[in-house]
Amino acid sequence: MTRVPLALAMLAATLAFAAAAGSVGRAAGGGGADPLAVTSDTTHYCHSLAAKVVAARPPGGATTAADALAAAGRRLCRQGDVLGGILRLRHALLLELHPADP
Amino acid sequence: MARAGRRRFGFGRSVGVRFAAVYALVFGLSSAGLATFLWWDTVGLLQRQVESAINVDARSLAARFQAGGLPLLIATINRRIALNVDDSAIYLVVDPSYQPVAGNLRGWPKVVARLGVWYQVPVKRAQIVSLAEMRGYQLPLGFRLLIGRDVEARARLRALVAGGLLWAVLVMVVLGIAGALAIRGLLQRALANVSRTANAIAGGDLSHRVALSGRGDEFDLLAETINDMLDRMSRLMDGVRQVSNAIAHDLRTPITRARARLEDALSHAEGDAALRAAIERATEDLDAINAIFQALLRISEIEAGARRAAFAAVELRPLLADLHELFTAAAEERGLALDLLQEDPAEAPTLLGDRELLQQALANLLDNALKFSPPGGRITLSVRRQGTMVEITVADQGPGIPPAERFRATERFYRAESARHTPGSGLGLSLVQAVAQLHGGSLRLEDNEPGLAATLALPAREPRPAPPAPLPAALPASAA
Repeated sequence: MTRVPLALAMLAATLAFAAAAGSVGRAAGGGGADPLAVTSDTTHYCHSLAAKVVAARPPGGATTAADALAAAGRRLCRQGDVLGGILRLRHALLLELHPADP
Repeated sequence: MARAGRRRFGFGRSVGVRFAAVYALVFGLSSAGLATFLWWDTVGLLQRQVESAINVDARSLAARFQAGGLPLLIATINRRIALNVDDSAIYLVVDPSYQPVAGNLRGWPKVVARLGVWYQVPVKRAQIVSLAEMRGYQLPLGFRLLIGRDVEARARLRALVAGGLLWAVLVMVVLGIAGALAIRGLLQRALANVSRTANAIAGGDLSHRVALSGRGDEFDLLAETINDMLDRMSRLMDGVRQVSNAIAHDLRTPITRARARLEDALSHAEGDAALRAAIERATEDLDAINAIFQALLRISEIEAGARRAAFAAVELRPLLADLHELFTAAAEERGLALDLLQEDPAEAPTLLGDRELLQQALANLLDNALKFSPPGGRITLSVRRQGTMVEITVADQGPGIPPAERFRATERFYRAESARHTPGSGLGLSLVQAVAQLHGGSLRLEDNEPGLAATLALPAREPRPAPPAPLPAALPASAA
């Protein structure tokens, strides 16, 4: 109503919007729980991914780019940069499985 | 004091505050609508895209499970994880006892208690904690599928947009309040101007007027209207004051005279005859006073328009002939000539009106002409058509009325300087004016060179198809 003091009305509207913007709008999340560990970021997974790259190599041999990416991925995994290694191995695998659409 | 008891408006009762509140409300709603749209079109779009991708993924994997059973599902999931270049996909398949069968999570998250519901769960990838959106699906044979996507980037974007919108809303609130206060101030200034004038008028200062800003806006139009109203009120007040003064002045003399005669008769009358004569003269004075009051009441009655209901067709020819005949004798007694001129005696104009009032109005004009005409003068009573109007003019050769005083001549009790020593109450032309206005016409006073020409212009009852050429016919008073 117009008799509600102006400042209070606008402040209420602001707070309502802030609450709406800040809320997730989803069911219960895991805000207070321990984060879930993802298993596709381990050295073990990196090695298994390297094996998949080798296994997926086409009969006529992989492309130079795929080979280079696979080699870089293996090297990074050995050096401890697991995420970097996994990223390159995934690209290499993608090139081998879909050479026409890298 | 009346002003001391006047109610003062509270903050909520102020029109300015109400206008300001409406402005702020509209501005706030518009801003909230804009912010909601921006939110829906940015963060909301990204969220809908993620949810759509997960649902499509879920349907595809369910189809695989239907087609090739668990082995094909596992192979498909492993392949999708292996090819997930942006490293954002989360998959997990568990058996009926929640034992992991495939995917890149160690186990079913406890927070995902219900299937088909969206959850946002923190995940840790290479020691980096991020936020993932995920949803559980039921598969045949009691298996369950969990699919998720890393939405950390979206969460950052959402926080960024939310922060920006929050600041924008705060700025809008400030602007809304500032605009509302500006509107309130504008209204208060504009209304204070009117209020000051109204207070001054209420305090008795009728000369005060609303100041114009010169911008020609709505407030200026309102101010002009109010000022016109105040001018009209001022004229009316002056008229009332002048009438009151005139009544007091004009009635005091005959009343004082009557009282003096009665007092003198009471003290010095010798015999009944002298006493009776004094009483008769006093009665004549009181009759004159009574006549003035009757004239005033009659003018008021005419101005009220009550007699309009009794309007009927009035033929001017016999009316003017009667008046001409009636006043010819009086004119001859004073050595005057009274002429009646009609442009076409065969065709008498007809009016819609009150015959008695019209007769009285014309009699007043003729009476004035007789009183002010010098001996040997000529008075003309004429009638003519002027478009849709009929104009009846009484012209004399008397002193006339100076142009500067003509506009006041129809005021009640007005007497021109040249008429101070002529008998009369100063109500005759007021009554003529009232009769003219009652009939939708007007009274026009003009110079007759010499003398005065008083024209009563009244609407004709029916317009003539084509005005014929004027054919005046003179009827000298001596011949009538």
